[in-house]
Amino acid sequence: MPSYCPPPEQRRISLVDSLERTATPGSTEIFEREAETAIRSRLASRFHTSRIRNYKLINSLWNLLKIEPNWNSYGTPPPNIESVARATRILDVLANSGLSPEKVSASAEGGVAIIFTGVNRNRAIIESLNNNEFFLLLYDLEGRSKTIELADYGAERVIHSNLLSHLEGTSLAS
Amino acid sequence: MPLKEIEVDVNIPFAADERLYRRVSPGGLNNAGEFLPSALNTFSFDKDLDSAPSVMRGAFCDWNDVLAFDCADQELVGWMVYYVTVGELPQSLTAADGRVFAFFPVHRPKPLCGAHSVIASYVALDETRKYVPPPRPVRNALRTILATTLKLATQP
Repeated sequence: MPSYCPPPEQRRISLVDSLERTATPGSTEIFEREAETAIRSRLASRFHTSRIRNYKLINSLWNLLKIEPNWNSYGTPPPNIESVARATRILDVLANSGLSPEKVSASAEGGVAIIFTGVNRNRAIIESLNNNEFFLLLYDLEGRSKTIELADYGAERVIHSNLLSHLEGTSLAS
Repeated sequence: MPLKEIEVDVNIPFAADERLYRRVSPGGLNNAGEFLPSALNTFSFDKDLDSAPSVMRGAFCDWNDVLAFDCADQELVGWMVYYVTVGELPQSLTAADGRVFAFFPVHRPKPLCGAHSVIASYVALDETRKYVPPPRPVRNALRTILATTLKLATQP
C-alpha cells in the first residue's frame, strides 16, 4: 500500500531578505578603506608598473617604423619590421624578469636600440639591426665595452645572465 | 656659412688637437644626457671609404657649421654638436682573431661642405693603409670609446 511521506519543510528564500541593507556606516567606511588600499597597492606594484611601462616601450618601438629615411642626417634608414619584432620579443621577456630599460630608440646602424642605465657607471644597449645583426653591448663610462652577439634562439637566457650582473655593478675590467 | 669644397685644402694634415665634430639629435642621448654608442653609425664601414662614419674637421669649420643646411641636408632644430680631438681617437683595437685595427681621419670634402671628413679603419702595420672593415666587437668598441669621449661643443 503506497504511503505518503511529505518532504521536510524547507526555509523559503525571501527576495525581500536578499535586498535588505546589511551595511552600516561603519562597515562602509571599512570597505572603502580596504578598497583604496587595494587600489594603491596595485598601482604601486612593481609587476603592475613594469607591465604598463613595458606596454609604453613596445608602443614607442613600433612608432619607430614611422621615422623618415636619413632621420639622423647621416644617411641611416628607418628600422625595419624584423628588427622591431625581434626587439619586441626581448622587451616581453625583460618585463617578466624585472629588468627595466630606460628607453628605446632608433639605432644609427639602422635598426632599434634598447637602452639601459645601471648602477655606478655601467650602461648597456641591446641592438636589433635591419641587417639581422643582434647583440648586447655592455659598456661603462670609462669607454670599456664587451659585445655579446645573440642568436634568435636562446637570446633571452644570454641577455638575462649577462645584463643583470652588469647593471648591478660588475666591472667589465674584472 | 660652411666652406665649400673649392675653398679647402685636403693636403693640410690633421693636427692632434684638431676637433672632429658630430651632430646628434636629443634622441641620441640617454636620460642623464650621456651620448649613446647607438647614435654612432659604423654600418657604412661595409661599403666604401666615402660612407665611413662622418665628422667635420675643425680646421675648416665652426661647430655651428655642422648644423648648417649645406652640411646636414636638412633643417635641424634642437640638435647638438659634440666633438672629439684627433689625438683622442683610439690608437688601436684588437679583434678576437688577433688582427689589430687602427683608425685615422680622412678629409673627404663635399661640394657644399668642405670640412666633411670620415673616420677610416685599417689593419695596423699595413703600410698601404688599405681600408678594411672591422668586425662587430671592434666597431662597438670604437663606438663606445667615441661616445664616452665626445664633448658638447654647442653653447648653452
